[in-house]
Amino acid sequence: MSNSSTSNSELRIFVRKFSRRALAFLILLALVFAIKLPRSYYFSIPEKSSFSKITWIEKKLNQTENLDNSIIFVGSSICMNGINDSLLNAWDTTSTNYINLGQSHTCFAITDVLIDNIINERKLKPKKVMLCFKGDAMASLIHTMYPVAADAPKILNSVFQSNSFVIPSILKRASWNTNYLTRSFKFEDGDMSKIFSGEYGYEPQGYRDSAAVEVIYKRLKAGSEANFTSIERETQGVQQGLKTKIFLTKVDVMENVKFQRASFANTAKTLDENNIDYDIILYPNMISARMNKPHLMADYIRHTFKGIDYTKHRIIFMTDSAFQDARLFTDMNHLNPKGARILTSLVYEELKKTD
Amino acid sequence: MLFNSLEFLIFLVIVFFLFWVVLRDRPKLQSALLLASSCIFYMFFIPKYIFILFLTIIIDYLAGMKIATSEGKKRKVWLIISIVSTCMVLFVFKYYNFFIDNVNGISNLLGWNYSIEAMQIILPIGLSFHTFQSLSYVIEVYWKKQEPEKDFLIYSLYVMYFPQLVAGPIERAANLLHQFHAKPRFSYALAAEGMHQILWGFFKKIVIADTCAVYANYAFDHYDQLSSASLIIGASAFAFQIYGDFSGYSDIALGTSKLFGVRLMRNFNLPYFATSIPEFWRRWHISLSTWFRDYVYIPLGGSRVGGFKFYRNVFIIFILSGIWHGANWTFVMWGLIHAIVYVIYFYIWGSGKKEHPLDTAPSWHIRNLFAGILTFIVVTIAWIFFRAANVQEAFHYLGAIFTHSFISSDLQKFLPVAIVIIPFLFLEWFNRKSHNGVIFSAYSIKPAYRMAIELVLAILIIDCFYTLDHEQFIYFQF
Repeated sequence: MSNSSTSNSELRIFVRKFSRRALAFLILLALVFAIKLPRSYYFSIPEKSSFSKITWIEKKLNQTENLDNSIIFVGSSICMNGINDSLLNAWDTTSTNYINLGQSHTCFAITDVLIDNIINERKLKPKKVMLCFKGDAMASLIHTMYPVAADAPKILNSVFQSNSFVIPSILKRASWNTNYLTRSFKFEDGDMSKIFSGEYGYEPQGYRDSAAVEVIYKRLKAGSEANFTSIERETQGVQQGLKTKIFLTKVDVMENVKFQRASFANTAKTLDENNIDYDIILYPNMISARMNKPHLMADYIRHTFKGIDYTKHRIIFMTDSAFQDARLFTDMNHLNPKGARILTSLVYEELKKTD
Repeated sequence: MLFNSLEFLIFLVIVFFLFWVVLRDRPKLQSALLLASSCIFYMFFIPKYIFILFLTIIIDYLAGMKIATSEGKKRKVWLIISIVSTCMVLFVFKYYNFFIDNVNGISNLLGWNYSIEAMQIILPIGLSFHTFQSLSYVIEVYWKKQEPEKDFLIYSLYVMYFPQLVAGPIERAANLLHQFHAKPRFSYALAAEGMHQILWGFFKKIVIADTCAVYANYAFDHYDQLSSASLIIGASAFAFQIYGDFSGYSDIALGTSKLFGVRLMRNFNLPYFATSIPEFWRRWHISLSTWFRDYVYIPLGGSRVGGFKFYRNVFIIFILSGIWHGANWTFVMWGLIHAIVYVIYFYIWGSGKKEHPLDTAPSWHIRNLFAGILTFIVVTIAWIFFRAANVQEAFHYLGAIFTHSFISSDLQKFLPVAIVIIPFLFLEWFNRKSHNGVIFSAYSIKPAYRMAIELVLAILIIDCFYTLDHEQFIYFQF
């Protein structure tokens, strides 16, 4: 037998044996992944992380009997740090209650899971839902805590919505499941500083010197503007070259944009099916404010999500030039308490228009 | 690209498939594939730095050729050109800011208004590793122990081979080049050994090192508030963190390389079972310690010169070894501690005490146990300097161990790390006779049991993979 054929037969043996082990591992992994542990365990995982708002939301919803008179805000950290629900509750003397359920990191998928949990699982029916969008970009990738919020069937189901991050999500959920058994051996940090403990869902950001904010703005400006320009081209239906098309396909897959869009469309569908009123708010950041094209992102949403009835659901965007001012921001995206107060008052005015 | 990432797993499967299935029996293309893969692997970090890497490759490749074809002083000139240019890159990226900081510090001390601005640069990943690998080649060619490599592709692969590109082992041309020239032939035994080594490496990195890191980080971040016992456990946790991290990386590198039929040199051999500091250095980061031995210590006269010169040589290699790790006085202190203990050891016992040969396993003896514990204590004290942000912090940490109350309620937080470290030490002990440190290789285990052990290890890796704050491999920064 020649060296080459010996080598080939050894390769075949290796592949066969390795495949057998991989299969055994996958079966074991699937079993671990499928274990359903108490919901309270999963929601304790983010408690001491920078995503502790997720645990707070879970606890808040556990204490809530109904949301019939509540207007809830869902979205990313821009929502969490931009809408001061304590102010809204103070200003509004009617029975309407305002709850900021925004959570850090832009991810429509985790918002979709939250809305599904509120409406379909908890059978709560909010008076209105405010869907918050970043003013200059769509969501991408996946929230670190997505496998906390989404259970095993939802994670598996996300494959059919083109979730490119399904494998890390499965691994993460499986990892947390095994960790449940070994949790008492793990390091327990008594430092509670990361725990979100506000009475309201608004988390105020600290103040930062406006010169420092400008430095951040300058560093991120080019990338954000390019992103904005690409949104503009897509909205205007500009014929894309082959290179751009390939690039956009890559972005859809590698950056999970397709799944994020599907998640947002799904949220809108869930709300429509349950006759729950909702509006979309475009949150200003320094880029979108300074580029001064307030209609652009709204046009983009209309162009992208054709299933939404825009005569019933408004897209609220900010034309206030105040948001060009670095003194209102902690960084390029997040408003400081002064900026949040201005935004909250503008949103309040908009909400009053529909009352 | 990190070894402990899904990207690497996908990358490895693709390269393996292309190498053994698509390009089978086409050695030149297989080498080209390994080189292209290495470029992609490297460019996952900072793509433009690949040009710096290629610059050093071109310089050392040409220098190697010129040294081989020149005579007399010209050979030395080419060697100096190569060493200076390669080290210059290392100096600019790794040591320039450290140098400037110290110059500025001295000028302030002397009351001069003289200050040079530091550079805002990021250190290219694994720079110290591939720089030393290039230097070893040029020096070997100069000493006429190595033929110059004529094939640029093979030479580039020697420097850039992705399994060991960013954190070693620092290979020698004599070990690697002939393997790249040989026609690749798939060996089941070697590939299976490689897979076991990869699994064991991941276990060391993700289960041991990353778990210990949580305890070590907490201890070093809160050393002013913790009891002595907690601080001792915290420092020990760092000892196991760095061992699990670096030897885990080496195992993954060695195992990955075996999948392509290439054997890399062993880099760790149970260092925490060493019974003396000299023995520790023959078991820890073997590729670096032998590099310093062969290219610095022996040319300076080694131990043959005796007396003051011998001690001088010891201090030189340990201080260089410290500086190699990073541009910080903490690393110099780390090297100094090892040098002092090394010198004391030789002063007391001379070279008469028989050491374990490297290829034998540590043996059980009550005397060895005490000597091993004492060595571990010294090594851990030195690790405090290695881990601390600055020398002052290291002394404060050490001071806190001796001045704080021995036990307090915080100890409860730290005790669980023992559940990780003690079984790991037992596993290492039982694995001590294994072939090249490859787990299971010393025992004949029924296939079903073997598979069960593999699955348990895999599940433990999964257990820790996402639940811990992931640490980058420590040695990437060097």
